[in-house]
Amino acid sequence: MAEGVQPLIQLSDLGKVFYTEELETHALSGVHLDIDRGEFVSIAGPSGCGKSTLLSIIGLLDTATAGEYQLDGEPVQGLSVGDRARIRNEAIGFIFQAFNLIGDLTVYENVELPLVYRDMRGSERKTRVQAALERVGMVHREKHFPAQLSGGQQQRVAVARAIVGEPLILLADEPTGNLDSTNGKAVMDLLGELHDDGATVCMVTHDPRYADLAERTVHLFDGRIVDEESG
Amino acid sequence: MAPFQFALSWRLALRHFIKSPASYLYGAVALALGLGSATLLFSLVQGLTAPLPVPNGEHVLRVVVVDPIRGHAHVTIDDFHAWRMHAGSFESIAAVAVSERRVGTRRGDFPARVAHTTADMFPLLGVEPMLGRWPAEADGTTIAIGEDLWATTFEGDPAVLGRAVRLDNEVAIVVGVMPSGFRFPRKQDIWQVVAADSPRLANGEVVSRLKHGVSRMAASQEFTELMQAARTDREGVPATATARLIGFTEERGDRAEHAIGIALLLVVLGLVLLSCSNVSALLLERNLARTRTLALHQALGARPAQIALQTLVEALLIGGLGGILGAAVAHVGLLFLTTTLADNLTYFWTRLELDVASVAFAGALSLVVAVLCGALPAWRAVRTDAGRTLAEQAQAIHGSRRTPVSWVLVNAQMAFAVAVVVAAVGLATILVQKPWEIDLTAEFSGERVVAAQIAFEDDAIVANGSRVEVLERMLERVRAFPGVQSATVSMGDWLASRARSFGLRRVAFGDEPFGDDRGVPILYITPGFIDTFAINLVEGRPFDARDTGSDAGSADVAIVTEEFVRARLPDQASVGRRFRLDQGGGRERAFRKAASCRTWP
Ligand SMILES: Nc1ncnc2c1ncn2[C@@H]1O[C@H](COP(=O)(O)OP(=O)(O)OP(=O)(O)O)[C@@H](O)[C@H]1O
Ligand SMILES: [Mg+2]
Repeated sequence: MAEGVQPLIQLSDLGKVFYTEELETHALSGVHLDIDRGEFVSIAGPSGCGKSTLLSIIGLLDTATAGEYQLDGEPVQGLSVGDRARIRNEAIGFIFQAFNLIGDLTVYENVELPLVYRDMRGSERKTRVQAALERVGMVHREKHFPAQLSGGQQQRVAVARAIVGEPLILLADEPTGNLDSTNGKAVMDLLGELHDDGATVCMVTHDPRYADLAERTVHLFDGRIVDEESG
Repeated sequence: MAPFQFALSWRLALRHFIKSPASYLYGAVALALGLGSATLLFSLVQGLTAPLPVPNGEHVLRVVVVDPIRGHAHVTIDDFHAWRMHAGSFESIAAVAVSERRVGTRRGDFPARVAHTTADMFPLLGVEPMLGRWPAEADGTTIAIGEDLWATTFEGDPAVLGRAVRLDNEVAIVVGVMPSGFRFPRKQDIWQVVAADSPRLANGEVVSRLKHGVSRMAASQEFTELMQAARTDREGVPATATARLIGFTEERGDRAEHAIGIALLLVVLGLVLLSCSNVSALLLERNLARTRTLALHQALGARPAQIALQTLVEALLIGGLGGILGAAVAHVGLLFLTTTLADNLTYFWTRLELDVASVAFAGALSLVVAVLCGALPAWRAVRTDAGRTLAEQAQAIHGSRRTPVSWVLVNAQMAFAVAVVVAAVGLATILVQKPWEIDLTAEFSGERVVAAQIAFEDDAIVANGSRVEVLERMLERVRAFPGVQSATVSMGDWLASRARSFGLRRVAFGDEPFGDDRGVPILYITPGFIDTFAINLVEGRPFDARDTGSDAGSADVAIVTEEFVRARLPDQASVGRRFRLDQGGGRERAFRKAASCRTWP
């Protein structure tokens, strides 16, 4: 990567403290992390070490209590709720462990949702949704409801929904956690292909089998980055 | 916000509704009771206060004289003339009185309601006859008939014009047919013109059409001044009496009416708020069950307004359903009231129905209520912590957890609401029927009592003061009827009209001065009254032949109520006490008390 080019994600001295009754949980502290465009970064670590918290902050679902976060060169602290929603919509694609499709919407409507919130015109939405569904091989199920699909199929739809808006980065939190190994592998292959096509991916996974997909693995322990390996 | 986001919200709301209609319908029914009773009340007030349906009807006002001590007083012919000649605040002024006549046609006799008006009443109202012309002859030889009478009795025959009909003992020619629905002032079928000084107008009303730009206040002021200048000494009405202009349906309600009206309003308001809070709880609960979905919408970039919209649309769906059901509830309630109250509706234009205004009211109220119901749940939805919710490992995306407590609450509210609606309809019935104005005691059964109204319209009888003789002859004949136990005459139209139209007279015992109270209601009766109504006297004796006639020197006698004794003569022997009645204008009349009776009527 050339000198002087701004990383896509730039976290410096990031910290997150949760305050609950009588208890302070330091979920993250002193996290420095840069993610460049087109990178595939994997975050690993034991349960409760702060992986999901980190991803939430990167995805603007949560805010850090310390440190700085620049997304695409812009600081995102202190943005309004509405601006944060807009950035989530335009810059970030989420893939969750629990698929998290909306049960009252069809496959097509689920994938279309981020575009609806983007105020995009109907015809453009249609081409984009079609393309995304083709990408994950789910066009034939577009009229189905999530409950009528298998877990693997649901996760592929979730991937389609994450990529439909052409976000700057895909954030995946244990995307294979709820899948058997065959389906898990299929979803990972899909992420690999997307990365090959240029997508930036940041993924949390426990599963060492998929860690080698990533170019870089960040090891978290007790809210701190303890190791980084390139692979 | 883009229209397709509305479309999305509606699509989701409808799918939620189809998926679990029960809770939505429950919410809608809860709202319907609140919205329905509010709409019912609105339609009721609208119907009962609708102005006279003639061109610029809001300018057509009754002129009444208000006596600050006794309430309403009669308008005299002199007042009428004074206004007519000298007042400048009206475009036109006319008088009307109503009576019932037997109408004789070739097909037979039937009773009909007649309006006796001065000739200028028709131009004042600005209503053109449907056929022919207005009657104009002040000798009463011409009449106009109502469309209803024309269509039934005269079978809609246009040749009715010029035909003679009998009105009691007079003959009049039909010269006009008034348009359909016109039955001014109450529910009249026939209009006859009388001279402006006819005694027939004695118990009538003065109607005026105000000039544009003249305020009621200013007109009332002018009318009052003219009246006071015209009447220097008038029986029973003090110089402080004022003239007032009021709309036909603007009854000066008494306290009981106001109290019931306000109670109704509060009940309805409470009901609306109660159903509102329950629908709000219902929506909160639904959103709680969908926290994860709400978080997901946020993660996908829904802005706060878009999240709020989703809940508001669901509230609108419930509100809309509630509004439609509520309008149906109001419609049924109004049908019920219309059938039960048909005889109590004074004016011909009073319609208790779900008109356009009522539907608009129901719609607007549903909208407001929906936004009210949805506001808190929408706000809570916006505040969903998306990061935390999505990080939780919960697998269930949907599936609604139902807290039984809220269902118990909703059920309790529904039961309460039904009870309140029934009570509200009852109150509304009471409001229109005013049963407190005829308060027959429990011991008395009216079944065997027949009442008739006697009006002296033969000017000769009124003029030579032979009323008493006529009445006595009439009573004798009635008593001679087989099966008649007793008969009586009382002054005042107490069976048909209101307690407050009894004459009120101030009372003083011995030489004490009159107080400044409004006085007590007095009913003038013949001796047979006590028998006829089977009144049990608590003490003393009933009236008898000794008490009739007006021999100079002997005080009149009176029977008073127990209540009166309790209030005015506590701990004293009351029979035989003397008291004076204020006759107005400084005249008094002495009385001796003969007996006490239970409060009646
Ligand atoms: N909203 C919250 N309030 C309080 N504490 C929290 C909250 N979210 C996370 N934590 C705490 O922060 C720490 C990090 O949590 P996090 O969910 O990021 O762990 P994780 O690495 O994703 O674990 P896992 O592999 O089990 O998913 C944990 O100790 C957790 O209990
Ligand atoms: Mg986690």
